Amino acid sequence: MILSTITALPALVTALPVEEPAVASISIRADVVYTASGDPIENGLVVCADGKISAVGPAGTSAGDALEVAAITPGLVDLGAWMNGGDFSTEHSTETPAHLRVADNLDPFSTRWDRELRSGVTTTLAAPAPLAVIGGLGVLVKTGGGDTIAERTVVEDACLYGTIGSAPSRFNQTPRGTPTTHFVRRPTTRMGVEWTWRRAFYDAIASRRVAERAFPGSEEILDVLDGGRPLVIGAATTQDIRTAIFLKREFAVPNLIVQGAAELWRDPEMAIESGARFVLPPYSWGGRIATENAFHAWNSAHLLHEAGVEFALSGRGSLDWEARLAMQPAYAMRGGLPFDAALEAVTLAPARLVGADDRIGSIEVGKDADLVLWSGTPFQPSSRVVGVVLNGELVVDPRD
Amino acid sequence: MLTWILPLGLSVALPATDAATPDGRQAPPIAIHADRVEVGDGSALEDVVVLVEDGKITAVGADVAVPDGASEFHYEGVLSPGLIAGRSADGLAGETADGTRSVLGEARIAEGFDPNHADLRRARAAGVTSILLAQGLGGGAAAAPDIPGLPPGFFFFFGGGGATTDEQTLVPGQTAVVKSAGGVVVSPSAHLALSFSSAALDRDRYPTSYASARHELDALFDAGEGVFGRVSRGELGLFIDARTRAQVQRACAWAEGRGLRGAISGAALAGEIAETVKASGLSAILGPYGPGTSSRELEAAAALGAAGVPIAFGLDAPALSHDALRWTAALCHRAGLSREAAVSGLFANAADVVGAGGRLGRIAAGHDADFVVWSGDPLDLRSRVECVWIDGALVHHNDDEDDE
Repeated sequence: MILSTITALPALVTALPVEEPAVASISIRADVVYTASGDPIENGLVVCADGKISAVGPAGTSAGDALEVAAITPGLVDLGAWMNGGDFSTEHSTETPAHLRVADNLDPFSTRWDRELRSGVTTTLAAPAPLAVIGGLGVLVKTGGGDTIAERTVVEDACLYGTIGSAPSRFNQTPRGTPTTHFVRRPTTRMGVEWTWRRAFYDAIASRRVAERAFPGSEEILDVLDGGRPLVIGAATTQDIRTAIFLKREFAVPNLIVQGAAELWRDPEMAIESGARFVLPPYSWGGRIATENAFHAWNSAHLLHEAGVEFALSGRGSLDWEARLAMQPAYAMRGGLPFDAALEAVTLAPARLVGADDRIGSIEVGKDADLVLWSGTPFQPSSRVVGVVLNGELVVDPRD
Repeated sequence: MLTWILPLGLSVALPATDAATPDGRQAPPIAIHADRVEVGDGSALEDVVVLVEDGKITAVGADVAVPDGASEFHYEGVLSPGLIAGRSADGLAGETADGTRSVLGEARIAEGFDPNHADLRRARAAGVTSILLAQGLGGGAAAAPDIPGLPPGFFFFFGGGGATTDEQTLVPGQTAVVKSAGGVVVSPSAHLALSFSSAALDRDRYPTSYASARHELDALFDAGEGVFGRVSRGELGLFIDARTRAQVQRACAWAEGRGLRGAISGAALAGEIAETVKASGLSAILGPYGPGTSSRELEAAAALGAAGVPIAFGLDAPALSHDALRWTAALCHRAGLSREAAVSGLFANAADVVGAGGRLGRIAAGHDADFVVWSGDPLDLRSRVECVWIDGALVHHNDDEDDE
């Protein structure tokens, strides 16, 4: 049986002599293959070899001993999963550690990875926790496929991540009496958070002329201003989103992604004109989300889609099963988003936002073989994720 | 001089406890006849003579000529090197952790060592002759492995401390190797200690994250001043506190990337990523383990040994009984660690890990005359310490009343 050897083969690949080609291949037939990059393929077949998709097309009359499922989509990509390493992942003594790499904080043995993987998320953006104004460099990683973060990395230092809102200033204190903690510092207000952003940008710009103005992180900020990696700002409320967009205008930030942008539906014109791109937070039944108690309307994704603004949906499945990414398209479709756009918003669109669409996000020959196998039509309430393929390996078997 | 009738049936001359032979003091040669010698690296010898002069072993063998005037001793039990505790706090009266700063590279734990501390008498009585003193373990705190799913303090019973009382510093200073008699400091600078543990980040000061800790260490080693330069040049090894597998992975990747040598300490599950540890070239200090230690941790120790990673055992006395050292080796052996690795982890490998392999841990010419005479196999927990020698002086006998 081919499938029984599939999981064992990848481990053997490195051990085998080079002259013996050890091809780990897997074929999966589905009633419908949703590629995300083209039209759905009825009675489709996806063949994976050596971790990549080697063929995709109609299955014909006989698909041999292929695994059979109802539907296949690309592996889901979550840019808002809050994978940050948990405790001891935030530098509390400064607000602008833009140079710190979240990759150094991640624990590859955390059980959260497996929860993400089992829910269909094969790639996540791990970004710093929203406790510093400019928290550091995020990393795009697979949710499995190796014991080390380095092995799982798709895009190293994929973005510079920061926050606008009340979270960075929440624990800070104004100096009264004898300072006994490094939390005695600015910012202590929402306005102070904005001030910290602007000061960091001005100091970084000034460091081009005056070397003494440079600080740890100024190079990373300049990289963002020069159009290098994207700047991802977590901002949930209308005014925080507006502040992020003001920063983009004031400092001409070429590539801004506003993450967790729950309330942008209140001022869609601002969002559309800004040239920024957006990651929507997971929907909630009552509309209110945990961040800033912001209100995330059901039609937020639909509004952006209608306006032609690039956006992605995001989940948080390893922290809250109800908020898993595989469920988000259903909510967005409830708010008016068409199926194709909903599929793209959890696969190709987030991959494109962080510059990884050459490798992940759709079912195309040559791309990473990351697939989600479904029991029925994806995103229907009666359908569920029954299998997951990661790097060509069947990590969640629908027959189990 | 006192004359004792040994339970093993021979009359011997017993030097006073404080007569540990400092360099230069003239003492008659000592010839020890032993039925069985555990060399320290896992090998054994039968019916040999160990000749000791001036506190050093000068010859070992079946046909060693005993010089005239030598004091002769005959032991029917097993003669082994002295036990080496790969991490402990004997002779430290607490106050060894500085909570005010995160980098104290030049601080030496040897400065806090009290050679007359009562801990050392108990160490001798258990056969522990050499001790690696490491920072942050005094004052009742001890390395507690943080295993997912277990509450903090779970290891209080065997670790004597627990995560909640653990005080760690990113760079707490330099470890020391001391003996349990004679006030001997074998090495006042055995390693530079570093902490990759979260316990070093849980303070109200920079750094508070793994990423910034790494950034700080890189900055210190790039600058290469003082002790950091010594480590970079290979003159000094590292003692790295790392508990979880992720911490071990970070420590191994970092040390390997900079070409540094040393040992990781406190990583109960390091054996689950044994190949990573092996590839880094780092050694491991495991334990202490007791009857409540999970089979998962013990099997991880066996896996680490199977991968060829040199292992020493931690003790964390005085919070824990000194007998825990042998317990740890025996439990690891029971879980699959080879006898050679378990024995060597008490003696030869332990000496290498603490950076004193040329002096300690082996019954071989040129090494310090530190011995334990056991009633049987040292790995058999039924075996008892009969007597203990340090630097050619008999420092403990199991009939010593003041050791009860």
